[in-house]
Amino acid sequence: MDIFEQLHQQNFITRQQLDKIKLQQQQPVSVHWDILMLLYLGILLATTALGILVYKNIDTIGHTAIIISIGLTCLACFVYCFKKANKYAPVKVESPNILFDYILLMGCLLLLTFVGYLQYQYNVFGNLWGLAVFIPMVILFFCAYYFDHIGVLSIAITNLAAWLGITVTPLQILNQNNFSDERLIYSGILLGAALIVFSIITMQKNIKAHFTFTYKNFGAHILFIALLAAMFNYHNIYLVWFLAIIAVAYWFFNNAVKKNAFYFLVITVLYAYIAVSYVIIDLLFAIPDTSAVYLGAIYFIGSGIALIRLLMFYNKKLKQDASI
Amino acid sequence: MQAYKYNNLYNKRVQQKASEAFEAQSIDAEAYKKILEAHPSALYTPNFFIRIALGLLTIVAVLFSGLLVWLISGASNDYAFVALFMFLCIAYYTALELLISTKQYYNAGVNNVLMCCSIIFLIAAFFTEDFANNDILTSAVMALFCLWLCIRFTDGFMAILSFISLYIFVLLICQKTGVIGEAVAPFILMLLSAVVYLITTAFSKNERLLFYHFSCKAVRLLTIILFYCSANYFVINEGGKKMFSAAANMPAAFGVIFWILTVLIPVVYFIYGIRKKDLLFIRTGFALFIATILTIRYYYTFLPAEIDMLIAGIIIIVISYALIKYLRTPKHGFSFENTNRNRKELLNTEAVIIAQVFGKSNAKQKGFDFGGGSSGGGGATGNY
Repeated sequence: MDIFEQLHQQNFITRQQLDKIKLQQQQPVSVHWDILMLLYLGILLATTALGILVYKNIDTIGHTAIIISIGLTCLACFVYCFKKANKYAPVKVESPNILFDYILLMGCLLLLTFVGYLQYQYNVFGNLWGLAVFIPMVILFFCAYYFDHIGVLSIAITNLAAWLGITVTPLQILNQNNFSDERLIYSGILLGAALIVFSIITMQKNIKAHFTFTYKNFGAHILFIALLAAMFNYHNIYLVWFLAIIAVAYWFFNNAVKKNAFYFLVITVLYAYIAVSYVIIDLLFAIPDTSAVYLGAIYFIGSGIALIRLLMFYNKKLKQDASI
Repeated sequence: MQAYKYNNLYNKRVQQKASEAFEAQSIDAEAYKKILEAHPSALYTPNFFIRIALGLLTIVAVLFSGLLVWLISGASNDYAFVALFMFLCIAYYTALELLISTKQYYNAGVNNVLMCCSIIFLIAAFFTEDFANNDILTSAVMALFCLWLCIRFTDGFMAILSFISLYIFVLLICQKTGVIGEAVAPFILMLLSAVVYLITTAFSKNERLLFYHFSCKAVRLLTIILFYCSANYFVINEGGKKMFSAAANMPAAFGVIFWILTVLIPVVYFIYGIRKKDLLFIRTGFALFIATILTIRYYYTFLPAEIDMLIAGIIIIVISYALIKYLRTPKHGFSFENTNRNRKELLNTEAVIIAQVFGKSNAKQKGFDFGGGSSGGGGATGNY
């Protein structure tokens, strides 16, 4: 027998509620996401094909024609967005329709292509490479706030990092950065810290407060990875960097517990674990014989289990606080 | 046979169903609270992110406990490694049983990783040495072991692994039985998928097997995909060349049959899915239809790839746009309406909060004091 029928028989739900549930179950099947996925697939196929076609026929089409058409399409997207957009407000603003978000996103992506193409083909900005990233970045930040679009905000932050010379796209963050580059490490630390400070300001001033997570997320990962890189790189003074990581982790941990943020709790614990393990392994290397390997294995088993217990404890604590 | 108590599993199920009904606003908060209070479950499933972290940390603990056992045992030749891997497999399985009986972990990250590690070390034990008919034996043992894990821990992933092992087992048997076996292999594998599909469908209707419905659904998806793969021209042609002897080259008559099946199966799935309003078949049918197009393109090329892509892309855009317009008002039992968006976010958080306060079994409330060093925590290494 159906669970709800049983609940009805045991008098947990009334006849009307049971009927309502039955009605719910007979509702039409929603193919919302299926059709949207289909639409993306079609757009992806068509645009990729167009890209290949253009690439193959570049000699006959010519760069100028392509740049102009990209620029015009981009312009059309932005004109559409400005016409349709709801009025700016510091709180969350709903987008006027389904299509709006994607057209805005397309406009922003085309803008990046447009500026990049101009610089690559005609060297418009000369040797001022920074300017070719800086100008679209400012426009992107403006669009993210004006049209209230978190996706555009993420692209803008990625561009901000690119302006400083760092790659922050999730898949490339570890293998496309040269972590032994001193300038990169310091700009990473500064950028990460700045984003976190900005997330706090966003929250407190209540300007687009729903952007807080995006700033904080980028900030946390960039800061932790840059600090870890600094620790691995400057071996002579690594304990200083270790203390810095622990200090940052301590702040994040308290913040996560206070805000009931499981996600930040987990990443903080894992980054801090990497730092602590590095120090422990470094100390174990000082032991000359093979007992260091045994001690290392025991450390990882013990610490792994201890952290499991710690996370379970905080899982319970955070869940209980969620009920207040 | 289950590692979990029936009541815990059943109550968890009731809680899930009730929260769905509450989010859909079919029942009010009062009824929801009453249901949760009357159906407490002791099963331990932490937050999603915590689960991932627990899984990662368990991998660390498992790897290094394996390393430690290896160092202590000093195993150096192949047979010693077989013994070591078997020992680790049993050790992790025992740890899993202990943790579940004391702490009731249910999809908590820890138990999932331990289950997988147990399987991985079992496979490693089999493949360290080259025994006769090693792969057939391995797949048979795997099919049985994973089936046992699925039954004991009501785990869908294990059900999938079990069916894959069975499929490989039958395939390898066909390979060993000479030319005839090789020639009929596709039909036998199709038959296998169809039989498993029918069995799991029958199981899905059995109320006594309520906790395995998810496992059955997972296996059903796999059976309809593997049924298609068993008949796909590309798979048979290229796979046959690799696996089977040259003597078993596909006869031309068979080729025609497989071409027909390759084209027909996705279409049939799709139509069946639309008629039965089954998204599983609609989605699978569409994905397999793409596979069919790629198969045809592999053997017969009409236009350059980018032209094909452009045409396909435009057709798909037009179709999906037409569907959006067409299904604005629900028709034939389908609608474009986003049911998830209808769930009010506030109501959703309220559901979570109510679920936190009620719906917990009192007996387990004090179970997780940190740092106490009880026997359960040391499970991963406790029995070596």
